[in-house]
Amino acid sequence: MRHELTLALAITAALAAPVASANPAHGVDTSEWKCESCPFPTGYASEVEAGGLYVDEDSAKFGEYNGLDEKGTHPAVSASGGKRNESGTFWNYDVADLGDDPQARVAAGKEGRFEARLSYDELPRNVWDSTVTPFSLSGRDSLVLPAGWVRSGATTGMTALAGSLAPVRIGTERTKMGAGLDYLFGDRLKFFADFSSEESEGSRLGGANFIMQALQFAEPVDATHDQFKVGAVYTFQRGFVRLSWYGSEYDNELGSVGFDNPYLPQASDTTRGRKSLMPGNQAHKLTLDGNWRLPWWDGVLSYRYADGTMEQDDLLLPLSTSASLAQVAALPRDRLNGDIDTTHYRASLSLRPHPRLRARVGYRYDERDDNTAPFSLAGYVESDSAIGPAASSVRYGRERSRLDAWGEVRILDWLHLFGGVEQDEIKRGNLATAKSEETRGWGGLRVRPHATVEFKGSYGEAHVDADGGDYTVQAFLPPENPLLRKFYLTNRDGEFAEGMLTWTPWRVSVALQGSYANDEYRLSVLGLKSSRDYRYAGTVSWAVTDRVSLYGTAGYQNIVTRQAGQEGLPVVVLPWSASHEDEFETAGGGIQWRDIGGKLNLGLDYSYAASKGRIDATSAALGAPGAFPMLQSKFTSLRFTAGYDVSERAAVRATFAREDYSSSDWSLGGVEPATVRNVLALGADPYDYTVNVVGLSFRYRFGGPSADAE
Amino acid sequence: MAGKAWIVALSTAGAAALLLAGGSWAQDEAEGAPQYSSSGADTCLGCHGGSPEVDDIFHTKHARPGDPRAPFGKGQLQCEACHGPGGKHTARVRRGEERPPVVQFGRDKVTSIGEQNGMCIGCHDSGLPEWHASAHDARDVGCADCHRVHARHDAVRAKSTQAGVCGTCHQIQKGETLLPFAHPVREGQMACSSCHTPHGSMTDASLNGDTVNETCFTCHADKRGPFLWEHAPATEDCRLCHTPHGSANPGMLSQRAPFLCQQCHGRQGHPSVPGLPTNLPGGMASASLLAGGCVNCHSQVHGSNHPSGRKLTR
Repeated sequence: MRHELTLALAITAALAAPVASANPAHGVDTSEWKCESCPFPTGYASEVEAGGLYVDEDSAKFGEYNGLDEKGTHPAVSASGGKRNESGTFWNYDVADLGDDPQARVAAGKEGRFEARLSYDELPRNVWDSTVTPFSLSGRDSLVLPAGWVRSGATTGMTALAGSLAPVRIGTERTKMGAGLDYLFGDRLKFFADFSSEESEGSRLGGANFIMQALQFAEPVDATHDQFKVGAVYTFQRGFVRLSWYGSEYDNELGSVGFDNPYLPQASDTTRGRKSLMPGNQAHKLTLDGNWRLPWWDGVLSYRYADGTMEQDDLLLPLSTSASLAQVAALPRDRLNGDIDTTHYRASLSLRPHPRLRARVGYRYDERDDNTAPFSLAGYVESDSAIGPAASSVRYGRERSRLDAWGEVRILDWLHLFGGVEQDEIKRGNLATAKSEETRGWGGLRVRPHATVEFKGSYGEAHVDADGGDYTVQAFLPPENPLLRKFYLTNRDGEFAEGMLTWTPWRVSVALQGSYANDEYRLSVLGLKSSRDYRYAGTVSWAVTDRVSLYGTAGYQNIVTRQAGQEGLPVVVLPWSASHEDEFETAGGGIQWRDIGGKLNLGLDYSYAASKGRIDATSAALGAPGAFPMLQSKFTSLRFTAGYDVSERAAVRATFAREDYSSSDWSLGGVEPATVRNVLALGADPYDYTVNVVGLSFRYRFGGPSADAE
Repeated sequence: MAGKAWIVALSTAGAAALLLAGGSWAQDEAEGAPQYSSSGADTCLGCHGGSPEVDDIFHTKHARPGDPRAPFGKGQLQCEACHGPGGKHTARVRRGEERPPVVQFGRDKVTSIGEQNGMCIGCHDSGLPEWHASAHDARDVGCADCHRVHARHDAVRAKSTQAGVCGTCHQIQKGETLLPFAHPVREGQMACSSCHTPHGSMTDASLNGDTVNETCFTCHADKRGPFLWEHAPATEDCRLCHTPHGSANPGMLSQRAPFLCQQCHGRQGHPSVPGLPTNLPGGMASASLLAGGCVNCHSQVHGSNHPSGRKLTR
């Protein structure tokens, strides 16, 4: 046997040698390659566009992310430009949307040596403009009710409510500033550093409760998130290695928010409540990664190791706003001192032992190790108002390891078969199942019967086994229903498929895409029992001429889930079930007509999107299936642009856009601040708007080559 | 023992056969030294220059003569750094004879996708550590399918235009950005690459972070904790409740309250009570169904740092 092995290995080595040495060398003398006809740009060139937009309606949803939430005229200024010298020094800038949503970037450096960058970016987020509240902000973190407020056990009894309501906008403004530097030591070693600081201010939709009485309010936001990444990468002939350090620090200027109790206090001195806001925290991670391109079989070996921490040590609040209730138990310490270690490592090897055969294997490991010291209380205070039982903070650690393999065989030039398997194991602490193992397998084909036609399709199955089917109901009070299994912790059987067809005859391109997924939770008597979704979409585009192009697109998505429950009351147990069906349709089309008479460019785009949500709930208490009113939304957008080149350097551009959005949503429609007797709501309305925008701008190009020069 | 030896020997012989095929294939490539053009880019531009489709590359980083790593850097191969040796292509050909091609980029070109990508990876390896493990590589996506290397502005590298490029293939995901509640991709405030790395990663869905949550925390650091009272699924995978490409439900939730919450919670008392149409305005308007639903009270679903926040209400 030893002889046979030696012989076989010798043959292998002998064959591998020429393959390994087959990589051609690029030995060529380029010293006479002057590149004299290369039009390298030098000197200064820039382009400035200035104009304005007129928006004809107020709408938070229309201006959700573009800042055009208010009716009126908005400036629209953008510019870009830069300069490059023969010596290789350069600088450039890019400014966009100066006005409501400004973004700016400046870079400078020396080619092949260093590049420094600065950036500025604002991101508006307008959520609601139809909301009202009786609360006003006093200081930075205190919400107070007006003098003369009449408390009641129910919203309907708050007789001063109607006269106290005032509009309140829900939304934030994020401002992000960044700086970066790349520095090259020779042509193989690069140092890099990036820093960004993002400030968020405004309000978000918040809520709180006093036992079974709830209130919504505009929760103040004032936070900063700083991030940096520094490192170095060394590139060698067959790969690279990189070492980097990432840091993130989230600093919340508001550790908590206090609010008046609009209800009759359930404890003598709980006229106010206080909730914690997201605590300041930080994370760090050291990463080593790289790859090595093997000298044979087109092999690549990649690897990554990352070791990090997540920490949080904000000062804790008292147990209650009530001075007497706050004494119900002593805090074991005044901060959590939360400490989580994260470890990730992975490696992947791919090989192409033959032009018609590819294979890849990979392994990945992720760990979340919660080292936070136990935090137990002899009792706590529920919603500032009532004494609760002893409680201990539950920490969730996790280990996940995944092994996967994939291969492809190119049987014929037009027929490729592929398949893969994956073994995914998750070990969890302090949850209903300690270990779940998911096995996935899939296979498919790629067919290219003609140069213009290609079809790719695949089918696969996945099976999750959690603790061999055992499920441990956790010991909390009141107890969880033993028949209910949390869907992500229990057994699951799934199947999935997808396909894509592309056809590109002549100047036409057709792309059709579809996918299907189905999951069954066979051991779950209660909870999520099944989930199925299928989606398809298609696009046709046609380059009619070099100057005219058209496209049309459509898509459809359908998601159905089924779940069951048991209404557990002290005396009777009533089963119920619910099914959800969400449908989503999209369509669109457009035309681009460029260079009309050498001067004019036209563009027209139309988009349509509609969603429908049907929920049916069947309850023994109701006695019959109950269909909720349809959840619906409909969005249409029409956008027309026309650009006219007045001269080689000057152009004028006109735009018109119209967006219609309508929706019906039973969770908001008709829900006024006092509609629900135990929820003092913000009274937000379902989104509904029609907005027209007209814009006109002028563009001028400075510097650079002119037509005459060219 | 002998049987095992034969299995090993046959396996090795099989591998050798594959190598033989690979070796002979590689040998074809190695025939003679590569022949480059006589004058580099000056030779190429003599025929191909003068049009923006070609010349605009001189406005890109590829054409920085001061950068020794760039194709047009000192001593580099200029056009032939990417398009391969052009000696045969630029040599005189007989009348009627087809000019031997150089490496061409794009679909339906004479150059295979693998060879096209190999030209790019040869220089950009450090930006593509796991390209070989990517779905794009497995599906033979070419660099030029997404990138326009000669263009002054490569649409896929700009935040405001990237989704349009990705949506050429990922049509379903592009459509989802039109859902009522979605990340600001349609508005050009986010790019697909804000979360995903199209150049490949072994992470779920080829995400930028080592885990789903680490990816989300890049922007949503307030949800990171660790909190005194954790919500277990929020520590594991944000997608257990959220659909990040878009949703018809507020907060990009996969479903509405209370039904979403009741997929995991059904304790005796109000968590077990179903939402019913009779609980809408005009009927017994329910706090668990209307306005914020369950989060009317349990507003700290991502975790609470209040000592009394065990039920995620403070």
